Amino acid sequence: MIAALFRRELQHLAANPTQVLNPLAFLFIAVTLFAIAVPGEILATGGIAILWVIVLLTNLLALDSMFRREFDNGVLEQMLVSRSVPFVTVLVKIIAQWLFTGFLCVLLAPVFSLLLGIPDDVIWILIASLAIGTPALTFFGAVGASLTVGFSRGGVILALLVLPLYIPVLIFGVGAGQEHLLGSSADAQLYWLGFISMISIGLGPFAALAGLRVSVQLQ
Amino acid sequence: MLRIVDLASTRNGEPVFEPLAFACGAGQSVEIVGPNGSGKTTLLRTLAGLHSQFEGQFVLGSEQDPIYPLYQGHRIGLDESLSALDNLGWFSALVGKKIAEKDTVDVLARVGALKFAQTPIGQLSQGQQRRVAMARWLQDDARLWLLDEPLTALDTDAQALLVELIDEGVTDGKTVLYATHASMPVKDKSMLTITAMGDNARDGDTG
Repeated sequence: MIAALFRRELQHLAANPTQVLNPLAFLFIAVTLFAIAVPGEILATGGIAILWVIVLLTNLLALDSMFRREFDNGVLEQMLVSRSVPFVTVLVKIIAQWLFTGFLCVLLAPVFSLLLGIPDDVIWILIASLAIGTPALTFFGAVGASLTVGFSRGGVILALLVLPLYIPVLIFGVGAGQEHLLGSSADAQLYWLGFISMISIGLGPFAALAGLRVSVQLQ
Repeated sequence: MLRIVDLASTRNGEPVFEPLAFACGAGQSVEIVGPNGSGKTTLLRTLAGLHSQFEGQFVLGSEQDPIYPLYQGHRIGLDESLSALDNLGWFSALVGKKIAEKDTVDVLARVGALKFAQTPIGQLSQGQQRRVAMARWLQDDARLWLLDEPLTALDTDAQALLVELIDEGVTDGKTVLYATHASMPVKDKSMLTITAMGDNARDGDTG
C-alpha cells in the first residue's frame, strides 16, 4: 500500500513537474540575487545564514500546494473516509514532500555554496545540518499547510503560522556552520537539529492529520 | 446497518436541520430530499465522518461490527492529472485491496468509461469524470454508499446507469443513501425528508 501511495506521488509529479521546479527555480534565483548583491567578504561568513534563510523560504513556498490539490479535487475527503489508516497516507505525503524539496535542497547545497562563496571546509557541515534539519521544516510545515488548506488564499497565514516554528531550526542550522567556521565542533548544534527533527517527525503527522480533519469541515 | 438517533449536525453550536431519527437495514435505498440549504450535504458528510460537529448519535453497521462508508461528494475525488486506470489503482491501494488490472478494466467497461481510461481525468468532461467515479464505487466493497447529488452532470444514459448500479448494489445487500433534487426511479426506495432548522415543517421519515 505504501509503495502504491508513493507511486501516485511520483506519477503526479511526472504530470506536474512545476510543483518541484518552481520552488527550485526560486531557490536558484534567490541565491543568485544574494551572490550578486552581497559583497564577498560578508558572504564568506554570512553565506551560510543566507542559504539557510533561502532554504526556509523555499520550503515555505512549496508547502502551499502540499494538500491544496487533494483538497480541491476531493481526494483528501476520500483519504479521510477510507478504511485504510489515513495517518499512513498523510505520512507518505509528507515524506514525499520532503524528498522533493528538503532533500533536493540538501543535494543542491554544494552548488549553491559555491555560488555564495561559502568556504569549502564548511560545506560538509552545511550539508549535514541541512540533511538533519530539513525534515523538521517539512514536518512542522505540513501542520501549517493542513490548517490553511481550507482558505483559498492561505499563503500569508501559512507563513505566519510556520515561520516561527522554523526559528529553532534556523538558529541551530546556522549555528552549526558558524561554530565550524570558528574552529570548534558543530556536534552540539547537529544534535539539537536532530532532536528538533525527531520531535517534528513524531508529532507532525498526527497534528497534520488533525488539521486536515478540521479543514475538510470548512466546506 | 444504519441507525440515526435524534441526529442533527451543528455549525457553530447551532443545529443545521431538524433532528432526524431513522434506521435502515442491509439492501435498502433511501432518497434524501429537501430544498436547497436544508442540510442534505451536511447530513451525508456527518455520516461519512467528514463533519464531526453534531448532536445525537448514529451507528454505521453495529457497535460490534462498524462499517466504512463509500462517500461521493460534490468534489469528484479523482486526481485530475492521472488517468482513470491510475486513479482506480490508487484507490484499490487506499482501501487495501489487491485488484487485478483486468478487473479494473471490467469495472470501467461496465460504466462505459473504457474509451477514455487512459486519458488524464482533467481532460474529461464532467459527465465522463462522474462515470469514472462510478467505477470507483464498484471497485470499493463498502456496504454503505453515501451519494451526494449523484445525478450531477450525467446524461440520460448515465442517469439510467446510475439507477441500475444503485439497484444492483441494493440487491447485493448494500445500503444506499443518496441526496437528490430530481427523484430517481430506484426500486423500493424509502424517502427521508430533511428540513432546515427553523423552517418549522414536519421532520422524519415517510414510506
